Amino acid sequence: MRSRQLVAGLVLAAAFVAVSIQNWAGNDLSLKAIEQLLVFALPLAGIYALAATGLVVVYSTTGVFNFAQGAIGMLAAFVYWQLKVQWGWSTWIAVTVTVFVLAPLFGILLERAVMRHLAGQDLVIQLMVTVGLLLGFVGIAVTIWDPNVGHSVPAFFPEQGFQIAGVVLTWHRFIALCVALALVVGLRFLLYSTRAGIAMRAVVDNRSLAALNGVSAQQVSMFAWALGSSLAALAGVLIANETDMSALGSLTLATLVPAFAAAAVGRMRSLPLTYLGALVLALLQQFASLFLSFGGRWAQVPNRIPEIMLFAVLLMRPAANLRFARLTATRRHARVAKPRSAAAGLVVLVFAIALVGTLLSSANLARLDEGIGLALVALSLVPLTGWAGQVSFAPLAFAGVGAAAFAHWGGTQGHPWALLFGALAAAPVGAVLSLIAGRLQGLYLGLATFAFAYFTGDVILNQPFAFNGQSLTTPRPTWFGISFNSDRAYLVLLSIAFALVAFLLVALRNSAWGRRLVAMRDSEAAAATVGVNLFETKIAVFALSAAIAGLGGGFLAMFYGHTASNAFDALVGLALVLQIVVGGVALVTGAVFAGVFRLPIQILQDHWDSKWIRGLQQIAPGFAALGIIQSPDGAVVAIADGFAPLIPGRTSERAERAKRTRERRAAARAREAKIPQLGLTEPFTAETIGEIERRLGIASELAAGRR
Amino acid sequence: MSRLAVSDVSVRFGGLLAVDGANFSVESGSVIGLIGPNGAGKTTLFNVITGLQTPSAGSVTLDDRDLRRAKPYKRARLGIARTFQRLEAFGSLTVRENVLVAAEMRKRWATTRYDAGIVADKILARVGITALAEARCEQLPTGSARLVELARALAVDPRILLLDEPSSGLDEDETDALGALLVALARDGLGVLLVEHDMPLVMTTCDYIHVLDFGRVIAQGTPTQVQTDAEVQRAYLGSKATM
Amino acid sequence: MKQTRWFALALGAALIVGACGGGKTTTDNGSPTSNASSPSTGATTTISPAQAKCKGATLTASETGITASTITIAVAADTGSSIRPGLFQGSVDAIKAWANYKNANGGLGCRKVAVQVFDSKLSPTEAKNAMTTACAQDFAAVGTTALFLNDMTPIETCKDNSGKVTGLPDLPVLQTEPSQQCSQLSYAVLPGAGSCPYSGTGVRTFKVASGPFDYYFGKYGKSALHGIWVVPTDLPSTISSSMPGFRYSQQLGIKRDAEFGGSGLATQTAYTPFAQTIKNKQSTYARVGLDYKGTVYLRKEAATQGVNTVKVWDCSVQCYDSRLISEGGSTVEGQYVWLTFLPFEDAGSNPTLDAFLKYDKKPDGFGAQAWAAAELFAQSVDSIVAAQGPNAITRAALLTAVRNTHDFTAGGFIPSTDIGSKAGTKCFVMMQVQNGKFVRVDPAKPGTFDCSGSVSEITMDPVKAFKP
Repeated sequence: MRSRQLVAGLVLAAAFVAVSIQNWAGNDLSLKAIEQLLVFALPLAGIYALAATGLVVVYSTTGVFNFAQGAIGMLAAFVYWQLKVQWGWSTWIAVTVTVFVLAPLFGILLERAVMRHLAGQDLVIQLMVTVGLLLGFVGIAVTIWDPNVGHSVPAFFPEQGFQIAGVVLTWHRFIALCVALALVVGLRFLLYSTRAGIAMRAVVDNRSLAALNGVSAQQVSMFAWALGSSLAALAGVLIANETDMSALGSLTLATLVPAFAAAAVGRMRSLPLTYLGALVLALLQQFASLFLSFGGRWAQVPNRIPEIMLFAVLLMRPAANLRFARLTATRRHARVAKPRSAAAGLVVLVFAIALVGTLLSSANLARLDEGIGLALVALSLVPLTGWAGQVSFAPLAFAGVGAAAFAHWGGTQGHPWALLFGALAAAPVGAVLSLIAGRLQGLYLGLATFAFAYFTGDVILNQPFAFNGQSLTTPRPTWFGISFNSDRAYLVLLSIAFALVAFLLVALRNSAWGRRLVAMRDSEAAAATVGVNLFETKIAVFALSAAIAGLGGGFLAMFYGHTASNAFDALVGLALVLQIVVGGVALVTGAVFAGVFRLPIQILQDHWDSKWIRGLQQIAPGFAALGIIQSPDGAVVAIADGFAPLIPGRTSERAERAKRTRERRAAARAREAKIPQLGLTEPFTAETIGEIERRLGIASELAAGRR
Repeated sequence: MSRLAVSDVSVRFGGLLAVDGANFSVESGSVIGLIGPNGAGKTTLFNVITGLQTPSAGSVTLDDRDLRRAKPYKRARLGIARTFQRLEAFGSLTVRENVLVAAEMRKRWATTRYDAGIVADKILARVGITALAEARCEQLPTGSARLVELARALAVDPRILLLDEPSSGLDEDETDALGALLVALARDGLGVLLVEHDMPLVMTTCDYIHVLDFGRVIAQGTPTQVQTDAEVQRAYLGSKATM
Repeated sequence: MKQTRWFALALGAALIVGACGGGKTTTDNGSPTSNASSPSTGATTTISPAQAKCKGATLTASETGITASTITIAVAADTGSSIRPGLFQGSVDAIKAWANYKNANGGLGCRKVAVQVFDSKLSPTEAKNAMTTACAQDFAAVGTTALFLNDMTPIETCKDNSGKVTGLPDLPVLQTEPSQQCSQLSYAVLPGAGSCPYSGTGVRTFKVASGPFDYYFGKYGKSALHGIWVVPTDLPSTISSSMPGFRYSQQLGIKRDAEFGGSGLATQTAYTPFAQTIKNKQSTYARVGLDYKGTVYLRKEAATQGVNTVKVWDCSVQCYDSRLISEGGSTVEGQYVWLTFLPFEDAGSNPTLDAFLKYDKKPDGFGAQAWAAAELFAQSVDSIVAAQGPNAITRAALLTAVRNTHDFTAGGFIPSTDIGSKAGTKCFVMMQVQNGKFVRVDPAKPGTFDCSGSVSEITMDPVKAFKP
C-alpha cells in the first residue's frame, strides 16, 4: 500500500515539473522571488485554512460533510456587513455578535430543523441535503441583500501592515493567520482533552456506545453544529473583505473546492495536515500566477488548480478497507417496478407528455423539451447513485462530453448515429474516472466527481477537440422522412428516447447485474465475499452512467440547436443532481421529476412576477433539502404514497410498513432515552471507551474503517 | 479434500493486538469450532481469512495456495464463503434475491449448465426459509436474516464455510435444526469453521475446538477436552462449569 | 401524506391552467399620453415632422406589436437567474423609463409606447423563448441584454404581419455571440469591434481606436508608459473580449511588463503578486479587464504594497460604477475611466442625457446604452412616419431605416456612429476619479467628445493571443 502512494506521489511530482517547464513564463526563480512567493501564499493559505477548519471539525464531530459550510460563512459575512457597515456598530461588537451569538444560534436552529435527521442516513442523502442548503442559503442572501447594491466590508486596519521579504503583509491578513493558528491549538485541545470534545467524537464513532457512557447524543449534536456554525462565521467574517461579497461569488465558491482539497490532505481529521494542504494549494496557485504561463486553450487551467489538487490528493489516498453495511436510517420503501408494468407506465408517460405538449404555449413547450432532455441526463444517475450507491456530481459533465463528441462526429449534419458516438465517447471517460477514483469510498469518490465536473466543464469542454470556446451547430434531425424541427415533434422524440432508456434501466434492475449493483450498495463487504468483483462492477456502472448522460447530451445539443460549453456548467450539474435526489434517485420517474419540476415555477413567474415568487424560486433548493429528509425515497414516492389511499388494495401494505417503522424507531428512541437513567457515572476517558469497546467486541469493526 | 490453514496470523490495530499468532486449520468434512470471549479476535480472523483485513503477520493458505494477494471476491471464487457477526444481508433485496446474487455469481465461473434460480430455491428449502422468499431482508428479525446469510453463503458453493454466530436470534428448535444442518453439510464434504457462543450447539456439532482469548489460542482439542481445560474455564466460562 | 396529495394536485392543476396560455409577462403601458404640443418638458417644444403627420390620421394595426393606439417593444435581460439575480436590471429600468418619457412627450408614431419585459435568466432556452414570444407579440426588441442568446433562429425566421420572413428587428445593448453581432437584424448602438462573418473561433479582424491612449501619451509621454494587464480568463469569450484592445495599446507603444490571467471568482489576495510586479518593474500603467471589482482589488493591493510609480490606472465602461468609488475609497483616486457615451456628471449639457437622468432613477452603464438604443429606435420610427405616415411603420421599414442610419448621435448623447455599417466610434470621453467623484478631464467641455484619435485594424486569434 505504501509503495503505491509513493509511486503516485512521484508521478504527480514529475507531472508538475513537466508542466512547469512546458509553461514557464520566463521569470527568474531567484531566492527573493521564492521568499516573496511564500509571503504571497500565506494570506491565501490562511483563507483556505479558515474555511477548511470548519469543514473538518464539523465532519469529525457530526459525521456530516457539510457542503454548505462556506455558505453559512457567506451569510455571516452579510450579517457582519449589516451590523458594521449598515448600522454602524463597532467592529468588535459586530464580530462578537456575529460569530459568538448569532452563528451558534443559527447552528442550533439548523441542527434542530435539519441536521439531526441526517444522523445515520445514507451518504447521498446527507450530501444532497447540504447541497440544497448551500443553494438555499444563497437564495436567502440574494433575497435579503440586493445584489446590485455594493456590500463592501472593510478590512481591519485597511491597507496597513508590515514588511516581509519586501512584501507588505496587512494586519488584517496577519490577524486571520493568527486566528487560524490559534484555532489549530484550541480545537485540538477541545476535541481531545475536554469531555465535550471527546463526547462529540464518540457520538460520531458509535452513537449508542456513547449513550451508554452518559452522553446525550442530542445535546452533543447541538453543540457540534453550534461550534461548526461559529467556525464558519469566523471564517466568513475574516474573509469578507477579500471577496466581492456576492452570494454565489468568490465568498462561497472561491473557498468551496480549496476547502475540500485542504481537508482531504488532512484526511478529514487532522487540522495540522489540513493547514499544510491549504499552504500547498496557495503556493501552487500563486506560483502558477507568477511563474507559469497558461495561455490560449489552457487559459482556464490555473483557475482549476484547486480541483486538480483535490483529485491528486484523493488519488494518493490509500485504499480503504471494504465498507460494511451501515445500519442506516434510510429505509427504502419503493417497490421495484417489473419490466412489464414499467413498459405500460412508460407508454402512458410518452402519450401524456405528447398530449401536454399540444396544450402548451411555445415558450413552455421549449421549457418542457429542455426538461425532458435534462431528465434523460438525470436518468444516468439512477443506476450509478440510486442502485449502486455511488455518489456522483458529474452527469452534466458527461453530457457535455457526449454533446461535443456528437457535434464533431455527425451531429452538425444531424446523423442519428452521432448520438451513439456521443454515448460511446462518454462511456470510456466514465470508466477512466472510476478506474482512477473507484478505490475511494463514498464521500471521497463524490468529491472526486465534483472536481472532475468542474475541471471538465471549464477546461476539457473548451478544448479545440470539444467546443473550442464557440457555439457548435447541432440542428434538429430529419429521420425516416420526419422532420423533428418543431418543438412539438422533438418533444415526442425526446420522450420516446427517454422511455426507451428508462425501460432498459428497469430491465437491468430486474436482471442479475441490477441485483449485483444493489448488493454492492447494501454491503460492499458481503458482495465481495460472494464473489462480486467490485472494481469491475464499479467501472461498468460508471461507464453505463456516462453513456446515458452522453446520449442525453446529444439530445440536449439537438434541442438547443447551437451548443456551447456553458450549457454543461458544474453548478447547473450540481442543481440537477439535487433535483433528481429530491425526485427519487432510485427511480426512473425521479428523473422525470428532476427534469420538469422547475416548469411550474417558471410558469408561475410568467404570470405573477414579484419579489416573493423570485425569492421563493431562489430559496426552493433549501426546501428541497428538507423534503429529502422527510422522504429519502424521493418526492415521486411521497406523492404516490399520498395518492395510494385512492387506489384500493395498495394502502394497507404501505401504511402498515410505515407504522412498523415508526414503532421501531420510537422503541429505539425510548431505549436510548432510558440509558442515562441507568446510573452510569464513571469518569469518561478514552481508556474507558477502549476497554468497553474491547469487551463488547466492537473493536474490529471500528478499526476496520467503518468510515 | 480441501484444507484451509491459518499460520501465525497476527493483526495489529494501532496499539491494539487483536490477533496474536493464531494457528489452526479447517478441513473438508469437519466442523471446527472457534470460541472465546467477546473481543477475542474471532471476527477479525474471519476478516483475515476472507481478505477483508490484511494481517500484520502470518499467512492464510487454501490447499497450500497462499491467499495473500487474493482479493475477497477471488477468495469467494476459490471456495471460501462466510456469514457476518453483524448482519450484512442485502437489505433492500428480498430473501430469494439475496441468495440469487450469490448463485448468479457462482454461475459465472461454473463449468456446467447452471440455473441460478433453481439452485437458489433448493438452498432456501435446505435452510428452511422458503416461506420468507419474497420478504425484504431489512424487515426480517435477526434470526431469520442470519439464516438468509447462511443460505447466501451456501449459494457460493464453497468448500470452506465460515459461520459467525449463526444461531444468534434463533430459538431452541431452530438452533437444533441448524446444528443438524451443519453436521449434514460437513458430511457432504464442506469444511465448516464455526464461531459461536451457544455452547450446547458447539459441543454437539464440532469435531474440534480452538479457544481464543485476547487474540491468542489458549486451548484446543475435542469438545470434551476443552470443556475440562482449566485455562478455558477461567478465561471464558468464569467460575460457571455449566454446559 | 394527505398534504402531499393535495399539493401535488394543486400544482398539477396550476401547471395545466397556466401552461396553456401565452407566455405573457409584465406589460408596462407607461403613463397616459399628454398632448403633443404640451410645453411641460423642454425636449419637445416644437412639433416634429413626424408628429405633424399624426393630425387627423386614422391609425391602423400596421404590424405585429402595433395597434391603433400602442407600439409595443420587447426588452429581454438576464435579470432573474438564481445565480446572479438583478443582473442587467439597468437595461430593463432604462427601457421602461424611456417609455414613460416618450409617453409624456407625445408618444411615438402617434401612438403610446408599451414595453414587454422578458427575463432570459442566463438560460439559452429562456432567451430563445423571449425572442419567439417577442416575434409573435412585439414590434421590435430594444435593449436586449442576454448573455446566452446563442440561437438567432427565432429572430431570423420571424414572420411579420404580412407573412413574410422579415425577421425581428433587434437593437440590443449586448451582442455576445458572433451570430448576433453579424446578423443583418441586430444593430447595436455601440457596435462590436470584430469583423463578420466569424465562426466563433480562430483569427478575426478587430477595429480598434487609439483615442484614450493618445490622451495618455499626450499627457505622460509616449515612452514613459509600460505596465501590466490582467485578462479575465474564466471563459474563452472573456479572454477574446479583452485581448484586441490590450494588444493594440501595446502596439501603440505601452510596453508590456507583464500580463496576467485573473478569475472573477478570485479573492483580493490573488492581486498581491500583480501589485508586487508593478513595484518590481516600476510600471507606470495598469489595466484590469475584469469588472470594477478587479480594479478595486488591484488598487487596494497597490496601496498596501506602497506602489507609487503608476501614472495611468486605465479602465473603461465597466469601471463607470458608483461602487468603484464607494468600495475603493481613497485607493481609487486618480483612476482613469473612458466612456463612449456622455457621463452622468454632464447633466444639464445634453437634452437626451437629461431626459435619461430624469426618468431613470437608477442609471448605470447598461441603462445608458439601452436608452441610446431606444433613441435609435425612436429616430428610425420618426423617419418612417415623417416620410410615409404613421401607418407605414412595419418591421421591414424599421430595418431599412436602421440600416440607412450612418450618423447616429442620440441627440448628442453618443458620438456619431455608423449604425448601418456596424462601425464603432473613435470618440470618447475621459473621466478620472478625483476627490471621490468621477470628473471629466478630456475634453473639458461637458457634452462633447474627444474625436482626435484614429481607428485601425488588428488581426489576431483573440484567444490564442493570450500568453501571460
